[in-house]
Order: sequence, then C-alpha cells, then structure tokens
Amino acid sequence: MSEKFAVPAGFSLITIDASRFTGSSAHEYKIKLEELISCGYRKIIFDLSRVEYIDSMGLSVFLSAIKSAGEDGEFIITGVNAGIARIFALTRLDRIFKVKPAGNHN
Amino acid sequence: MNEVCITFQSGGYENTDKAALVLRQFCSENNILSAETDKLEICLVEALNNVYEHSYENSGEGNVEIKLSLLERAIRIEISDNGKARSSLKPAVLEFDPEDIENLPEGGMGLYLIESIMDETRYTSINNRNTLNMIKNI
Repeated sequence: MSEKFAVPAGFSLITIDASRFTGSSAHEYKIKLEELISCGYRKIIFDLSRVEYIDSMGLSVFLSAIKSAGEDGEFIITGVNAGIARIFALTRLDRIFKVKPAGNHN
Repeated sequence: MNEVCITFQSGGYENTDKAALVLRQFCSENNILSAETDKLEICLVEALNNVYEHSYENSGEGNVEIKLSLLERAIRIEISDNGKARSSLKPAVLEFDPEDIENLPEGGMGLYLIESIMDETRYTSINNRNTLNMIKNI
C-alpha cells in the first residue's frame, strides 16, 4: 500500500521499492540516482513508506547522491517508520536531510 | 534456545538480511523486547557489512561465522571471519558539518552505530581469524 502525498513544486519523487534498504539493494539505487543527478535532477523527495529497515549502506546512497547534487541539492525523505527515524537521528543525518515520518506529509 | 550459530561460506551483503531474520527469531524465542531486538539488528547488520566491505573487500567470497548467545542479563553477538584485519582499533567518530556537503562522510557509520548502541565491543585478530565480540545488556 503506498501513501498519497503532494510532491512540492520542483521536486521529483523517487520511491524506494525495497523492504530492506541495505547492502543488497543499495548499489542499484546508487547507480540510478547518479544517472538522475547527472541529468540535472537536484531536488528529490524519497518515499520510504515501503522500507521497513535501513542500514548504513542505504544511508550512504543518500549521502553520495547529495554530494553529487552539490549546493543546489535538496532531499526530503518521507514515509519513514520509527526505526528508520532513529537511525537518521543516531547518525545525525537528520541535520542534512528533511526526514518526515509516515503519515506526515506537511 | 540459548545459542544459535550461523555460517556463511560465501556471498555478500544479502547475507546480512538472512542473518537479521535469524536474530529476530532468536530474540523472539527468548522474549527480548522489540526495542532491544531492533538495536541488536542494527549492530549485527553493520558488523556484517564491515566484514563484507573491509575484511573481504567486496569479493563475495569468504567464511563468516556468527554466534548469538543469551547470557544471564545480556545478549552476545560474536562474528568471525578470515579476511583482512581492521587497520585501526580507535573508537569510531562521526563528526561532520551539515553545511559542508562536499566533505560529508560516506563510511564509518556502521562502526559508530555499533559502538553507540552496544555496552561492550571487543575486536581481536589472532592467526588470521578476526573476531568481533559485542555485548548488549538487557
């Protein structure tokens, strides 16, 4: 079940379609994101509502992409469950990305 | 069930998902709270990521042994491999300036998470066998 929410103007939506966003799926997304960013996409909203678990390999996908996007880059990570929100807080990556819990689309 | 062993003879990151499943089962059978189970899962997955990325350098080869043990008031996770030993035993630090996008870290998060969550971690490398011992009080 995917949640519906408004994508802010100028943003592109990417859905992470993996229940575990870990080393086994991260590499594929890293490559896809590099392609998108090289095509000029800089503002991206990531829908994580299908993701149950993320590890450091998944987190590093966002980190390497925001580095490639440079100063114009802006990522919003939405649909995160409590466990994923905790990982962003523990690594303090919530200071870099706007992280929004599931059900909060504002 | 107070002890479970998992052995992977080869493979890579997909094994972390399989091992996490066994850990969740082990915790559920031993009535470990789900908040504690989540923390243990982070540490197990990150330790295995490090084995596959650093010890076996993403080769997809290499033996890994995992032992989960229920102690009196703690859970112990022991992970051994025959790969390259860690070059530094310094505590992991994760410091960055969120405004300085160019210099954001992409590695080192796993060890930082493990050391933040676990009550005790010990790493040894003896006779080409590396072992990470992690204990979480419950």
